[in-house]
Amino acid sequence: MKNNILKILFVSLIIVFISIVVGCASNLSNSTKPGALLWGENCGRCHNVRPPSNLTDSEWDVAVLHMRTRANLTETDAEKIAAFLKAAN
Amino acid sequence: MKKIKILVAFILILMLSQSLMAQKEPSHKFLLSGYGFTNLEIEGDHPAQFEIGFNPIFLWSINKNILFESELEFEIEDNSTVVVLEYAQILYIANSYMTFGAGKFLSPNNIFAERYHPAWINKLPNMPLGLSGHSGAQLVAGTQVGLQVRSGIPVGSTKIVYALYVSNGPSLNIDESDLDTLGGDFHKINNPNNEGGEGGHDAAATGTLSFNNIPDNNSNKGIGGRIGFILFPELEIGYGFETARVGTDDTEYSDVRSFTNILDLSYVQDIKSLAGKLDVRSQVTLLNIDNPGIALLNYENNSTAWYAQLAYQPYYLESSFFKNLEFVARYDQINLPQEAELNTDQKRITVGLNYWLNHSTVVKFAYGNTISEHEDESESESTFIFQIAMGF
Repeated sequence: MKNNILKILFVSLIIVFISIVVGCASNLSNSTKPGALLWGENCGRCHNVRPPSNLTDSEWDVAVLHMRTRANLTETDAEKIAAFLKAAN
Repeated sequence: MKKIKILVAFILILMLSQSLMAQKEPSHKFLLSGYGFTNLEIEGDHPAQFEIGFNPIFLWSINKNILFESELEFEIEDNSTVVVLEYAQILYIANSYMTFGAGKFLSPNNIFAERYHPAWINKLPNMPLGLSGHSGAQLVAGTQVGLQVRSGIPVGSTKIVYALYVSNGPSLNIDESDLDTLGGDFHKINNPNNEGGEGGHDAAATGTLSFNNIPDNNSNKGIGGRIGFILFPELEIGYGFETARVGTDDTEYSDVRSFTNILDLSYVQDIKSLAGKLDVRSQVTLLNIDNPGIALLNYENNSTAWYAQLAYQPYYLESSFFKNLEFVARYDQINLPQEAELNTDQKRITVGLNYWLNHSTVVKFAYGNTISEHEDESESESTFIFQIAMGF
């Protein structure tokens, strides 16, 4: 049990360390990305993206909230994606 | 007279406010989503079989921070419609870095179950070996009943995503026929939930786990989770785990524990030089169940399953026909302990050709060849599957 916990911590620490190093080395941070780019990147990682015209603005609010939790989107990313979808609708 | 004027003014104000309220967007919002599919499967010498599935997803947002989500699974089995509660949970977004969920939810440590299993998202009409109770031995849960906390944390241009949960956890199966040889009502106390894979689709073989653990077979709770790293927007790697005591309380097996390690990778990239999109997915699952050194389980109970899948869609081509085609290939494998009751190793290669009618409706043709190895015997079987799937 103790060994297993140590393994989990070890793997997690490696992932966090690489993330910080690569994240800090890159120029374009998530906070500067527009909603259209975040929509393509995050939604397209698992499935084909749905056109904005598929849902009403109100339905997009629910869909984005659902995907925010499922895909672990940040609050800023979710807001930008929702704003893009509504503007393009 | 004055009272009448006040009353009329009050009614007018009330009517005006109601009119304004009616124009204002309601805070409660609802969305009906989901997917459906039809399969035609021709497996070896078995008769060709049609299957259908309908999975509506209900989403209610009470406000910007509270969401209820539920999916039902309708299937036809033995001429009866079977309804399964796939998931149902209340989610509360506490802040940017923590979302809490309570209920039945897709298992966060199993990325295939959580993100790729819907028929219109899964690139092939079958599921990878070891990840689903529908395709033989299952090593990892598709759903959990319990509590979870999850979110994503941006780090420069990358992001770390995490999920941690506490749940009923899996339960250890002890086969009734094996236990009958020990006499008495032994099996009833060692395996009160006697079930197989998720939803009870498979016979429960001794030494395997059941993931449909309601009621919980012991006082212990399973703990699991996943940490994922989105190195580039196109690449995500993750590590998932679960630890749980799986033996039933007050039995000889009560101290038996399981530990699951899962590694996953997904890479999705538009490649202009190839005129299309490349989609690579892989998952490795390692399951270790304690050897208690007593009858029926006196062996090293370690199992592995993994798959690697490659898909390519040339959607930058000008031809409206060819740009909707998608080519898919997957290799998957499961290895089970040779001393166990369920000990048939399997290797499978599946190739598929998909045609996208629109962004969420796809027609799939797939051919798979499975090699099953049991002791010194080996058997090969071919499968053809046709599927039409639609997400809505």
